[in-house]
Amino acid sequence: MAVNAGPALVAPPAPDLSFAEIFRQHARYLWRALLGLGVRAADVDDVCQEVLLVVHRRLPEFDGRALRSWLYAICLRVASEYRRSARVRREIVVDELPEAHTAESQLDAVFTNELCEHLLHSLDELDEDKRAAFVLYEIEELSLREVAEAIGCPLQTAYSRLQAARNQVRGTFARRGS
Amino acid sequence: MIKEPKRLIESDSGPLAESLAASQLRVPSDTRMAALAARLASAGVLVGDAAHAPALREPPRVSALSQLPAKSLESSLKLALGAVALSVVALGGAVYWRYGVPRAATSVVLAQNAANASANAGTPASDFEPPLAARSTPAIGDVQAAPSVPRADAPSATAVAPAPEATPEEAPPPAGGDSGETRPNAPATVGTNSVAGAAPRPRAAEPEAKRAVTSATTPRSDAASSGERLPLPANTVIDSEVEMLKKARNALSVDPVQAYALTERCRAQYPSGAFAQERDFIAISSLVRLGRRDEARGRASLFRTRYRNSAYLPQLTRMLGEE
Repeated sequence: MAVNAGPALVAPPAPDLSFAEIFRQHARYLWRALLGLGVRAADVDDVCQEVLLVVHRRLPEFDGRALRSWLYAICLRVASEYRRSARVRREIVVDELPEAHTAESQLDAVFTNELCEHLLHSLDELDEDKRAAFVLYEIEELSLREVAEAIGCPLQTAYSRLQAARNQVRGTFARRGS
Repeated sequence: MIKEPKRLIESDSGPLAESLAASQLRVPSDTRMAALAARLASAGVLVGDAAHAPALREPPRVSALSQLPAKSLESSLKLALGAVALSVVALGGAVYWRYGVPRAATSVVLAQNAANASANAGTPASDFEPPLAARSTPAIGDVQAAPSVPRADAPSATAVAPAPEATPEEAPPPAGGDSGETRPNAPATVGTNSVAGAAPRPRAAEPEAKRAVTSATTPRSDAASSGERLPLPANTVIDSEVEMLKKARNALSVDPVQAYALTERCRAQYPSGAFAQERDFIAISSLVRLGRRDEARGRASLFRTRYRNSAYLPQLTRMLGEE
């Protein structure tokens, strides 16, 4: 005898998403994440465009849940491909953050560039998995669950990678401080 | 059950927390976002005013209701609404054009703004603008009482977004004017107001070019709240607004009391400063760190009203645990 299991559980309806809306709300932060993930400043515009093109292409497949995880997952893949490219490997050692427009006394240029550079050098010492967990959690401030979904790993794994990354980055900062 | 660890920016102090805070501030400028939008438009994935009318090359809207037959009706309705919205905007733009009032937000080529910018060149903006670059912008159709001051370095590529306009209460300032009126606006919202090419920040025009750091006195908070500037001893060296906020930012993770005091001092000395948005954000961050969450929420509410399209808003929401 067939048992009626009741209606299938479905996710609550997601708000309609347009690519323009995604661009408006998230593009800036995807750009920032790419810097944290090791994309050179000189290339970040191009890579961000690539991310957004992928987002546009795959938007019909999106199931309407966990948008940030989905977006950052695309970001991670594109950044990973970028870092693997031979050209970047050769040049990445000498990469520097672009000169800030300090002449205009912008607040960001005044005190963030040096600090950002310091952090990016520390992140360069992490492997890709730890770096992704650290950047997504500590800079982009995704939840741990969102981080795990973006990376595509179990929650415990994301947690472990994050902890390992934190310890390593703290150690780097401590060494530089001393 | 894994408990989410406290973020390092909150739990740590010193260079690491500061570096994380600095990295969070490192978002692209409106100019850069507009250029990116233009590139996406060239690639055919982003069309001007896409927010209010379906782009021809827009992928289907993602919705849990997408399987239902009503989708076609929904799309038609939205198309009609979009057309109406465009008509209203165009009409408003025509009226304003006719009477010399700054145009309402419509699809305007950035090249036009760039040409205007050359005539009214302010300070070229950095490509790396923190969320401080996000300025409150009116929604489409809002009456624009003050002209935007376009940027000298606005790209000449065909725009996909309109020039941002200042809200009536954020009229473009003279040098060192209040935040928002001449800043480039918040995330390059295609089809709406906040896009690069708009108001430049009169940063170089800060009357307070960087001077020595120490200041002998701190204005009283009551005077600060009224905007009154207290007389200072003759030998007092006044921090520039930038220096003051730099100190406040650096103090945030180690001494939020000091950070908050600095923002109040900054408010007193530079009530119409060019970095008011950053100042207010740091003040709210300080209050959160001090456990004064009700006060922080009140300030955040004012912040949201004043800087409606600020790129700080998501961070503000997360900081207050409102997600």
